[in-house]
Amino acid sequence: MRRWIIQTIAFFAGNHYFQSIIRNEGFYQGPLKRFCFPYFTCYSCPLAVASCPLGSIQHFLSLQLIPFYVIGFLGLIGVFIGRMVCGYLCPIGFLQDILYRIKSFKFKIPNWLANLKYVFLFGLVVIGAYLTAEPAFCKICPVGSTQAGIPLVLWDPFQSSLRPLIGWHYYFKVSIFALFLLLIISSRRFFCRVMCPLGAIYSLFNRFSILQLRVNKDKCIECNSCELLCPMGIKVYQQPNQADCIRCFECVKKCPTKAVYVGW
Amino acid sequence: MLRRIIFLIVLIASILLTYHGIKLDDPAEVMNNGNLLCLSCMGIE
Amino acid sequence: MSDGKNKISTIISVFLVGGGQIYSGRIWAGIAFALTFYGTIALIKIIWTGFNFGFYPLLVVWIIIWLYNILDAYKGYCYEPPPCERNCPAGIRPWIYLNYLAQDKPAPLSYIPFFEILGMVCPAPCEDHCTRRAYDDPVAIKHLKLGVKKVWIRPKARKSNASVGIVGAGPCGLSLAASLKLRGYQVTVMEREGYPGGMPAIAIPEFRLPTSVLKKEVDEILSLGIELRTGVEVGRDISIDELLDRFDLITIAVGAMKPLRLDIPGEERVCYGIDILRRAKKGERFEFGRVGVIGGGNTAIDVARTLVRFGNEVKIYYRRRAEDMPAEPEDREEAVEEGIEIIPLVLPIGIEGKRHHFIRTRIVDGRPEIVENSEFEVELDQLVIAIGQEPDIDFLKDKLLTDQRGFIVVKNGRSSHPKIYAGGDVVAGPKTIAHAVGHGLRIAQRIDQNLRKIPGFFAWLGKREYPFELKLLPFTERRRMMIPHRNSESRIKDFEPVELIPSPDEMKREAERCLVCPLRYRP
Repeated sequence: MRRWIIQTIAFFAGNHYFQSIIRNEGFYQGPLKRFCFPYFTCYSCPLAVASCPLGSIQHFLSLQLIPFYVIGFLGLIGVFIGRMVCGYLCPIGFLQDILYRIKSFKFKIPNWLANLKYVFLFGLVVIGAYLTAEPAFCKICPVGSTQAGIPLVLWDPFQSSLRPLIGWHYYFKVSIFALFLLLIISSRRFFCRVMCPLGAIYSLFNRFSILQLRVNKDKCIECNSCELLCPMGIKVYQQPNQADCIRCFECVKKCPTKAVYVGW
Repeated sequence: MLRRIIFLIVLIASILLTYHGIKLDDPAEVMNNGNLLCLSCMGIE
Repeated sequence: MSDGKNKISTIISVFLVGGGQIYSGRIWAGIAFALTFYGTIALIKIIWTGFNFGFYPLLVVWIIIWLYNILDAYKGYCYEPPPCERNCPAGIRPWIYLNYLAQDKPAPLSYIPFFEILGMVCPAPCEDHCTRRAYDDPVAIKHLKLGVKKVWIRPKARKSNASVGIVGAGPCGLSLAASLKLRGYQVTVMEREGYPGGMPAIAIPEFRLPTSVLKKEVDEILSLGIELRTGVEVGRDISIDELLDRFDLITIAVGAMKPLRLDIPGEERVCYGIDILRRAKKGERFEFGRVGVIGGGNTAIDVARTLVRFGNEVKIYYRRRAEDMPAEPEDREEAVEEGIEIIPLVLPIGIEGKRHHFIRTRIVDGRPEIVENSEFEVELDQLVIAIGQEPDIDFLKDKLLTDQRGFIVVKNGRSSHPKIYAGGDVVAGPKTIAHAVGHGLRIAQRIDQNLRKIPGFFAWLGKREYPFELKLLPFTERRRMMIPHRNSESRIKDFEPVELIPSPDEMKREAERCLVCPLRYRP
């Protein structure tokens, strides 16, 4: 199946609560909210039917609790497929895939910037939430603006109870959102590579997950097609399983010599 | 080989963590949180 | 590089974010920029609750988007370089001309001097890295240069009184001269020999590069209005200080012309490869009888093939294995076809009259090592040494830094003397014409930046992509075209070209084999 079909299905699988719009009744508050999304989606989104894993982690940490359930859940996924969630399920990844196809001036980010996502993970999601007792990453999260902040404030289902509350923070988040759009248009999966703390968590599992990419060195002619193809800009033939690989298998599908394959 | 061992350890650890979390009634807490409007996400103080 | 549209679209984009992109045909980019900019402005206007300090980051981001939108309208969409472009020492973008050739349209290319000559004598590193190798054989990128209808996109000329002196009229010197002249500088080229062309004119034998082709290319370059002074040797006829006084900048592109010596007893009566090639090109004939050629580079092969054409019996002696030769495998095979014997793993140690002493070697860790007690003797009428060249730059020894082997040390094309640039073989060691042309073009850019005092960042900003009309053609199953060769019996009798030029139709079909990697392989 084509990847974009799976990504679309995955988006609607997690975001299908259309009653909220039809009945104008705010967002979903049902039993499904006890589960976390495996991918990055804001749980304040009017369509969302489950919880944001990062929001839950931050919630537990701000209550000075350890989020056993969420970490275990993410670990269970990551240990099998590593970062494949980013490549096949994540709607934000899908958004980036679409927007990168726009023919604008592109630039490449240096590789060391990819380590910044660990700073976001440990600095804001873990330590920030623990110390401030608030979801610290959510305060800068552009996904929250995309899915909840902007639509909910514009739509305002709660009888104009939201708009009067808008202050400097909303302006700040809109500015981050605009910058996020600009960056994901002009650089390959910028958010995934540089910011995403969930991707940072999954990337820790990439090295030893069951699913691995393998390169047949005898077949590989180092034509670099995989690097041209890769949404994350990885030199697949050099480091097939590096932390940034999102297992989208574009390289596997289109390798001219079929040198890249999925191994166990 | 080392990869397999790490895999097994992490797999067992994740299962135990999930189990422990469910025993501590973490899902209820996740639901509690999820049923609130995340004002930080929306950018409202 | 420009087609005029870029300028207008940039101006539109300054006033209307996204407008320039739509004007230049990139509708989605225009919509995206307009939405990110005007969309967020509209959003803030709708939900406006009064000014506070959160407005400052918004302002900064809007300015960033506005600037980036101008940059985007100016520079356009850039393709990621495929392996052929990445590996071209001359900075040619083969996939573009291949695609235009396949579409049967004239290809807009940034100005590359010696383009046709590269199509005849380049070792083609592009083909060694071509992605098409994955399916069958690489596209014949090199030969297709001869079939391309080109439209040169020339660098923009500015009126300038700055003068640049170039020492050496080889590929590097001439391409530098042409590129600088097109940019509007006064260029003077000085050449030691009586004729321009450098190494290709001196040492590439007639059967690989006909003089007429070279002459046509050189004349085309000189007709741009370059002042050429032949027979002027810097250091003898004119001193380097005089040059530094007369010109704003000088460039040393004298190449590496002094043959390396072997330092063995009896070396007085050997010939050097370069000398033989030079004199053969002038019409001299060499009838030695049994000849041994020492070396494994292109010069050695060329000398051997030249001498075979005079009726000599030629053997090549090389200190490593035949497959280690720096010469092109294709040329090596052609040499073998012409009846030249390659004797690997031997080293000459002395000459007594016609008796030439050799010793065997073996390869240990990639380096040749002498095998003890394996000396042997070969009766030869003449030994020709072609083991490489070094630059002959005694005239500026005290002016700038050179490394131990005598090559000039450069950084970004500039030597340790601030007014002297250097490029070509005198910097990199004996390399190909493509390397020299690439050096020339890059130094031209550097000199242009230096004389106009543009920082590197702004030079990068100013570079823009030509809006190529590229088309992804369906994959064709055709195998690589055969480049017709004359058979070895007839070709060793004369100096006519060995490779024949394929028909235009065949070239078009060959160009269709190109995968156009940047279009086919993108996220």
